[in-house]
Amino acid sequence: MNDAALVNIIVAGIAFGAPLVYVAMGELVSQRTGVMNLSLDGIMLFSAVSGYGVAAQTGSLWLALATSILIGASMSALFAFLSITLRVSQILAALGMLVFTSGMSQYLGRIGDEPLIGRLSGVSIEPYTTGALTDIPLLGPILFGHDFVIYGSWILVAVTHFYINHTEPGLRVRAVGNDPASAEAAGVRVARVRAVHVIIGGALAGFGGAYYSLGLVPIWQERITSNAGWLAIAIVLAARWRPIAAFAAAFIFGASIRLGFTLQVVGANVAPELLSMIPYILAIGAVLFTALSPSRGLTEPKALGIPFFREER
Amino acid sequence: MERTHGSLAVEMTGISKSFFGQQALADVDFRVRWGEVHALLGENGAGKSALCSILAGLYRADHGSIRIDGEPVDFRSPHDALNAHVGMVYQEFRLVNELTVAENVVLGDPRLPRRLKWSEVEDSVAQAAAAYDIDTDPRRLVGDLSVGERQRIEILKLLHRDVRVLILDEPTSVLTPSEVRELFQAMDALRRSGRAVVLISHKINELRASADRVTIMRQGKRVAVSKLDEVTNDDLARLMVGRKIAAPRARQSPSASNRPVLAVRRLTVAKEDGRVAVDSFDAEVRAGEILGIAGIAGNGQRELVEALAGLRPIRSGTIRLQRPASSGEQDAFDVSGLSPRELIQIGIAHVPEDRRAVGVASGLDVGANLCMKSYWKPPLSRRGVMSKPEVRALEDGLRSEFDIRGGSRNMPVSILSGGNIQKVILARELSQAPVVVVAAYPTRGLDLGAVANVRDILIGQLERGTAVVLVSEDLDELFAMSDRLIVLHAGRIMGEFDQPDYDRETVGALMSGGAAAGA
Amino acid sequence: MRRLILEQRATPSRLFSIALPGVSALGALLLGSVPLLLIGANPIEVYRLMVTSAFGSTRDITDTLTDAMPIMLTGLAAVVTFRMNIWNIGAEGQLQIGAVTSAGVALWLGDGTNTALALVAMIVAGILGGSLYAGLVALPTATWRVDEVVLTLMMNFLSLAFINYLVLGSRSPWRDEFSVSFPRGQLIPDSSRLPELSGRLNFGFVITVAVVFIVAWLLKYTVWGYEYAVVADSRGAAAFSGINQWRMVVTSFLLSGGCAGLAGAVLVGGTLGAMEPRALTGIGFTGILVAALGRMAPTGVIPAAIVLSAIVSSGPDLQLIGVPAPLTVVLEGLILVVIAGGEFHLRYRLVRAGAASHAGAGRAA
Repeated sequence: MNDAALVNIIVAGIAFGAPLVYVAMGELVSQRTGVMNLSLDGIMLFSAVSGYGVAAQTGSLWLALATSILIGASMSALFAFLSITLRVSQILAALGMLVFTSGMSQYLGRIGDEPLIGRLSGVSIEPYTTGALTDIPLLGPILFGHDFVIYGSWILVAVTHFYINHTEPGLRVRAVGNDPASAEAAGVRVARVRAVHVIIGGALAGFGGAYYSLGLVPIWQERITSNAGWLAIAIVLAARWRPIAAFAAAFIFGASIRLGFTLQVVGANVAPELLSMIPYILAIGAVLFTALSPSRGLTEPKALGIPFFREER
Repeated sequence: MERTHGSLAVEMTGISKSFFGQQALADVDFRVRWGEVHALLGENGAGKSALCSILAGLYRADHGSIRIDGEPVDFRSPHDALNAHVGMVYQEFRLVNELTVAENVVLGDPRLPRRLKWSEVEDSVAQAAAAYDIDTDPRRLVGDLSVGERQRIEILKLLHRDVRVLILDEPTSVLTPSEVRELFQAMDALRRSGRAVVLISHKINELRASADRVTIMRQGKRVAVSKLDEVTNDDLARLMVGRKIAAPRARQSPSASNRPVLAVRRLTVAKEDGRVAVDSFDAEVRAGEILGIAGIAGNGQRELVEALAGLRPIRSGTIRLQRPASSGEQDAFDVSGLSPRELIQIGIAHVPEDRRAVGVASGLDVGANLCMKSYWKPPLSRRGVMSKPEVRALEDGLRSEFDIRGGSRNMPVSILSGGNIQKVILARELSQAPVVVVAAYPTRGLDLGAVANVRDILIGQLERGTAVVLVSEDLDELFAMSDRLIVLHAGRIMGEFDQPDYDRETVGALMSGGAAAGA
Repeated sequence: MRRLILEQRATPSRLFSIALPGVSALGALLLGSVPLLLIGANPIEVYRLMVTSAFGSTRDITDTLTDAMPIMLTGLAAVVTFRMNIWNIGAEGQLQIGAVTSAGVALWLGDGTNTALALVAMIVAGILGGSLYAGLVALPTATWRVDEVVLTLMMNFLSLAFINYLVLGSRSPWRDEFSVSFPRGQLIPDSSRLPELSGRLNFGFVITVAVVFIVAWLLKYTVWGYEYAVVADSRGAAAFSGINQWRMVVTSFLLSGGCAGLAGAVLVGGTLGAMEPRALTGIGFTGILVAALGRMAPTGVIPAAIVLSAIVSSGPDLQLIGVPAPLTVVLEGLILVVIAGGEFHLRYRLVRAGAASHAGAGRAA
C-alpha cells in the first residue's frame, strides 16, 4: 500500500468517522445518565430523509439541518417519554422507535408524485476551500479541506469531555447514571436529567443522520446510514463511555468502512461482500477486548438500562 | 427564614399514604420545634420512615399538608425539600459510591457554578468539614469509606447545603458504641445551633440519651407525643408496642456432651477485590447450640456466611461437618469447596441477609419459593418434570406448619409482609431437616411480633439437634439467644464468650476493634 | 388541590393484561392513519384492504399462515431469551445461518436421498446452525457478561454479508447462475422440500406449532423451566438455591438460536426452496414484535404472528392503491411502541391524590 492509499484511508476515517462522532457523543451522554437508546439508527434515517426533503423543497441547507435536528430531538423525546416517564423497558421502547422511525424514513422517501428517492436536492454541505494548504503533503489533506461538520466533530469531543468531567451538569450526569436513588436524594431531578440528555443525544443523532443525505452521499437512498447508528453504540461500549476514546474508535470505524473499498482499489483479491464485514468484526473485537480489560469498571454507568421509580419498594 | 428557638419548624397535618393498597400512614400529625432533637419512636413497620420520607420529599403523601417554619410547602421531590432546608440521612445511605467525597457533598447544590474547578471545590469541602469537626479527605471515593465515615459525609452534605431540619433514620444501627457517642455530641451541637433534628429510632435507651421530645407511632398512626423527661421507659415500650408480646419460648441449654457438628478451622475468605474479608476464622458449633456472631455490619460477616453456604470461594482453611449419629455416618468430612447445591443436600441451611433479593425470587409465588431447595428431587420432580400437585401439597403443609399468611397462588411473594417472607424462607430451609442453620440478621427490620416468631422457630430447631449460627448486630438478640458468642472485627475474631460471661461494654469495645476491658 | 400521583400495582392488572394486545393494535392503527392522511389516503379503506388481502380467501389465509411461520419462530426465539432479561436481538442472524446450514445439508445430500431422512437432516442442520451461531454470543455473555445486544446485532450484519456472499459472490459455488435479476442460491433438491399442505402452506407449519407448544411445556412443567423462572426473576435467589446460571444463560441462548435456525430451515426447505437474502432479512426483528404482542408468553406468539403476518404481507397490495409498502413497517413500529407504553398500565396506575388511600383501604380489607 502506498502513501496515497494511506492518506486516503485516513481522510476516509475522518469523513466517515465524523457522523459517527456526533451520534456516539450523543449516545455517550445519554448512557452516562443510565439510558441506553438503541433506536439511533432509525432516528438517523428519519432525520436524514426529513432533512433531505426540506432541502429539496426549500433549497435551504440550514432549514434542512434544523429539521433533521428537530426530528432527532422529538423522536428521542418520545423514546424518553416511554422509557423514563412510563418506565417501559428501554430496549423494547427503543426497538419500537427504531422500527417506527426507519419505517417512516422509507415511507416518506416514496410518497408523492416526485418521490425523494432518485431526486436531487441540489443542496449539500460543502468543504471549505483552503487553497494551497490542502496541497501540503500528508498533513494537508488530513487537516484541511473539510466541511464544518468534520471540524465541529473535533470540537464536540472536547466539549463532551469537558462537560462530563468539569461541569456541574456533568457531575449530575455521572451521579444519575451510577446511582439514581442517591442522586435524587441529593436533590437532583433524575427524570429531568435523563430526559434532557436523551433528547440532546437524539438531536445529535439527527444531525449525524443529516450528514449522510446532505454531505457524505448526498442523495436519499434507503438505509443510507448503513448501520452507523449501531456502530455508534458499539463505539460507546468499546470506548467504555470515555469521549476521547470514542473519538479514536469513531475514526477507526470510519476508516474501516472505507477500508474494503480501498483494498479493492489496490487490487486485493477478496469478495466485496466479505470486505463489508470489516467494521462489524472490528466492533465485535473491540467490545470483547475492552469488556475483558481490567479497567472496565471505572467509567461504566452502573445504573445503565434500569428504569428509576422514586417510590419503588 | 426567621427562626426563633422553640417555634414550630415542622408542622405535618393529617398525613396519609398507602403502598400497594396497604395503608402505611393514616392521618398522622407531626410537629417539631427549632432547637430540639425530636425522636420518632416506633416498631419496624410503624410508619416512621414513610413519614420522614414524605417530609424529605422522597414520597408524596396521598393526603395532608406540610408547613416548614410556618410556610405551607408542597414537596414534589427531595430537590424541593432541600431548597426548603429539609434533608434526610437515610438508613441505607444515599451516596454515590463511584464519586469522591467532594463530588458527593456538592452534588445537586444549586449554588454551584456551572464550570467546576475541582481543586477549589475540594478545598471548600475540606474547609466545611473542618468547620463541622469532621475528619475526611475530599478526594477519596465514597465507595472506599467505612460505614461510620459515610454517615458523617451524609451529615456534612446536608450541613453544606444549609439544611436546618435534619432527619436521621436509625443512625446508630451501623455504628460502634464510641461512634454513637460522637454522633450524639454532634446532634447536641446541631440543637444548640438552633436547627431541628428528627431522630428515627426503635431503641428506647438510645433516644433517652439524646432527644428532648418523642412522638410515638404504631401501625401507621401517631399514638402519643411527650417530653422525654415526663415518661418512663415502660410507658414508651407500652405505647410503642400496644400489645403484649408473648414471652420467648423456653429453651434448655444444650448438654455439654453434645458433639460438635460444624468445625471451622483457619478459614480465610476474600472480598471481590481480593482483599481479605475473613482472616483465619476458627469456630465449633455443637448440636442443639446457638453460636452468635457479633460485629458491626461490614466486618466480614457477609463473606463468612457466604463461604459457609458455598456461595463464595474460600482462600484457605477447612469447614468440617459431622452428620448426626442417626444418619449412620460417623466421620466428619470437609465440605469446603462444595457447591451450594451439594451443601444444601448435605444439610447446611442458609437464611440470607438480603431477604427480598436473595432469600426469595420475589416475583414467583409462595409455592415456587418453598420448593427452591428441593425441586430437583422426588416427589417434587421426576425425570426432569415438575409435579404441580406435589408443589401445592408442599405449600399447603408448610403454610399451616409455619403460619405463613397472605399471597394466594400465582401472586408474587413480594406482596407478603417482611415477617411472612422470612417465614417462607425459614419454612423452606428448615423443611430440609438441616444439620446446621446459618442465619444472617434473621429479625432485621421485622416488627416485634414477627421477631418473636422467628426466634421461636429457630429455638424450636435446637430440640431436633440442629446447630444454629446466628449473625446479628443486635446485642440484645445475641445475648438472649446464643449459647456462645464470637466477636468479629475487620474479619478477625476479637473474642469468644460463653453465655454467663456476656458483658455489653466488653463486647462493644471488641466490636469497634478496641481491646477488651481488663483483658 | 387535585393532583395525580403514580401508584405501583401489587400485581399486574388482569383485565388489562388480557386486553392489552388488542387495544395496542387498535391504537397503532389509529396512529398509523396519520401518515395515511398525509398522502390523502382513506385509512379505513386501507385497513379494510389489509384485512381482505390477508384473510379474503382460503388462498389468502394459507398465504398469511405461511408468512406467519418464520416470525412465529423468531418470536419464540425472542421470548425464550427476553423473559430472562437477555436481549438476544440476533434471531435475524441465527435464522440466516440456520438457512445456510440447512441449505448446505440439502444441497450436499442432493436429490434421491430418502425424503424423510433428508427432511430430518435439513431441519436438524438448521436448528444446530442457529443454535451454534447463538452460542458464539452466549459464551462471552454468560462468562464475562459482555453486552449481548451489541454482539448479537453485529452478528446479524456479519451473517447478512455472509449469505450475500454465498448467493451473489462471483466465486461462490452456491450461486444460482440462472437467476440473474432475482438473486438467490441454488434450488435445493425436491427430496429436501417440505411437503405442501394447502396452497403455499407447507408441513413446516405443523413443526412450528409443535415447537411452540414444546417450548411452552418446557418453560412451564419441567425442572429446567423452573430454574429458568428463578433465574429470570432473581439472579441472587438463583445463586442462593444452587442453580448454575451460566448453564441457564447458555441453554436459553442455544434454545433461542435453535428456534431461529429452524425458521431458516422451514423457509429454505419450504416457502422459498432456496437461499434468498431478501426474503431472509427483517424476520428476526419482526419476531421481537411478535414476542411483545404475544406478551412474552410462548403460546402468545401464535396469534401475534398471524396478526403481524397479515400486516406485513399486505405491503404489495397497498402499493397497488398508491400507499408505499413501508407503511407496514411504520405500523409494526407503532404496535411495539403502543404495547410497550401499555405495559405501564399493568404495573402502575394513575390515581387522584385522596382517592388512593380509600381505594387502597378497600382492597386491603
